[in-house]
Amino acid sequence: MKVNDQHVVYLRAQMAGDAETMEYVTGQMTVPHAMDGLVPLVDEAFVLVVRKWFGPYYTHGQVIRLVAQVRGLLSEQHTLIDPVVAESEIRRALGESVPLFSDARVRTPAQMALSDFLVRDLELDEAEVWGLLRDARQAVDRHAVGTDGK
Amino acid sequence: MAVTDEQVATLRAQLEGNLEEHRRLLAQLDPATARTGYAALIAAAFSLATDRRFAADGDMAQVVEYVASVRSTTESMAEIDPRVAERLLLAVYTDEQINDIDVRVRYETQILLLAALVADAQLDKTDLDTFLAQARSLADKWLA
Repeated sequence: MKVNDQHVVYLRAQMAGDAETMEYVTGQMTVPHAMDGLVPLVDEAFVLVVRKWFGPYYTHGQVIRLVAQVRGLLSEQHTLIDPVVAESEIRRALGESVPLFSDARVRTPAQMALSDFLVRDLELDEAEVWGLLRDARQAVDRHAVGTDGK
Repeated sequence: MAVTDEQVATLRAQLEGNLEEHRRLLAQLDPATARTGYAALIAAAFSLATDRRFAADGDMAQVVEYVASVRSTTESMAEIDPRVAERLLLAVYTDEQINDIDVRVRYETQILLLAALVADAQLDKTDLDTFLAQARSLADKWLA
């Protein structure tokens, strides 16, 4: 799945809570599966921001408490993040061999909510957020090339 | 059928942190009566401890935070399914339904959470006696 500029703009808007831009981009992408590229982009951005936030050393207790903290902030929509999926995704992002939850409809909302929190908590400025998204896009492209065997 | 002195002593040993004694007493319990009497005692104690801890102002965020604090203590506690733990706590004082949770998972999770709740409450011997008497009384009502 190819990531395009609109996917990146959408994810940036989502992180900034900019509903208007999100709606605008969604309205532009009317072709079937036009948003498919967002899933791997969210995936890679999540890995990058999780690694940045935790650094090289972490405990499972820290992972548990982070997920609980984010869920606590979303207590009105606490079902948005499945804690088991969220913890598993963080541990996978940190390089552990943890089973993948195959359903992206469960994974992606958890990744997005956690990424939003982590970006804010890291106090990344605008340039750093765009840099993160650029790196995530490049990672998706690299993996796509690897998958194609080129 | 009612809760027995042996079942109360078994739970007391666990809640006092005397795990060796707890295991010894647990092994001596009659398996058939333990399935009803001891399980009812655990459920009643869990219900009382949860009610004391959360009923006044225990919103979802507090339950989430509490379960995370319990799970983050050790790797084995981290194995507790947070969704199950949160629902069991909420079921005590909200209309949360837990009939879909496997009975064994429910029982094991309640035991672990109960130990944490009682440890947090820092009960002295008299308080623990009172607490166990109340739990026994409630369990007996359920079993009657």
